[in-house]
Amino acid sequence: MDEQQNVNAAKAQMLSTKATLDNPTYFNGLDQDKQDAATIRSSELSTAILKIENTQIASIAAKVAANAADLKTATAELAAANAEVQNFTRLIAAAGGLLGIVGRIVAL
Amino acid sequence: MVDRFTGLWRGGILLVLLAVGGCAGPSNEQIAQIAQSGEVFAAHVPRVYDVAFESAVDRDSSDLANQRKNAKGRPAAVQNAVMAAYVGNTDALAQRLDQFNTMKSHARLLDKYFTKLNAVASGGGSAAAGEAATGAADQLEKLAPSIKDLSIGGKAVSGFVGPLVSLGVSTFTNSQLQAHLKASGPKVQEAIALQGAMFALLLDLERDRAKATADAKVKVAFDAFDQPLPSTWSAERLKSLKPAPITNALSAARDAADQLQSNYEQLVTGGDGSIGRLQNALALVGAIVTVFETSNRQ
Repeated sequence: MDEQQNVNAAKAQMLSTKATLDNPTYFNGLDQDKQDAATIRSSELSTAILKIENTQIASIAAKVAANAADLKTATAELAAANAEVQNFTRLIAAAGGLLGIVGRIVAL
Repeated sequence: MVDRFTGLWRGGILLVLLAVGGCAGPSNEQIAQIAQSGEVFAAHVPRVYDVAFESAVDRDSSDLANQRKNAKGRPAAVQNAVMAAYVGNTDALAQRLDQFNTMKSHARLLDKYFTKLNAVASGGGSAAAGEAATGAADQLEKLAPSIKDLSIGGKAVSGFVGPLVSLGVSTFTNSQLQAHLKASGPKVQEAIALQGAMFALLLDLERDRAKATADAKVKVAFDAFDQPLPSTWSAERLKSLKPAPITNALSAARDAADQLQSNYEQLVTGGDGSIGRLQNALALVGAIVTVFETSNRQ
């Protein structure tokens, strides 16, 4: 079992425990001291579960932050490709214009 | 005069070669279509994170309110534990918001990328060049009146110039796009895959929570052998096997990311994508997220 599987198994156990402690039928069947202990344990588990989830989310968010630079580069490369296309188009248009001038000179 | 005329014919032949030589791979229209879908995906992504975050905060608020109710009038140790949970959970949710904001910023970069890709792929440069070339051909007739008499297959050569130049520019654009896809495609695929991976993770987290709650509900009732099973037990059990509503949004977003990644990959590798499935997946994300947004505002 790798580390991630261990974390998942531990979290699943925490979720199961908390869900049982929070269940009204289960909770109302406990005496007062056990209800207090259940409230304390459930409160602790709610924070612990959120933190584990955040760790899992952060592992992907960190990769995304690294990928953001690549996306910016890819967009900049597209802008450069677009500039090449525009230059090519302008070249054709300029060639047409030049041809027109030559045509007029010849016509004279 | 003859030299100039020959030069122009060479230019024309070059355009024909350019047009014919660049036919392999995805067309500009195909690239534009995927780029437009990418823009739609990138626009939906922040909305999915917003509804996922709102759902997490709602659930936590409900949990804390329940703990607070149980701690009312109880010893300080119980109330302190609930207070610590409030502080700790608020901090954890603030961190999650930061992480989701990172994902949303990344989605905005994806949007910029696909907007630019669409602009290049569906740009009007080729039409403008075609019009310019037609104007040039008119001038060419003045320069070399004999061109009026030239024809291929009964059609005047001067009539081909505009469309040919337009095709040449379009092919040049396509060659630029294909070079870009080869160079940067894997990084863009990774970007889409990472968004998909986050939706898949959030989906798992939601399913785990929903399953634990539903399992406890069913199990606690089933374990109480001194009590009859509640009349709702069977319905609760059925509910425990069905996904929670927020999972629909996350599942649709993950599927849309998968479809977009697959279609984009086909652009890079030259295979056939399935734009229909991608568009359906995007429409589903938009519809589900809109339902959540509407219900959250009520």
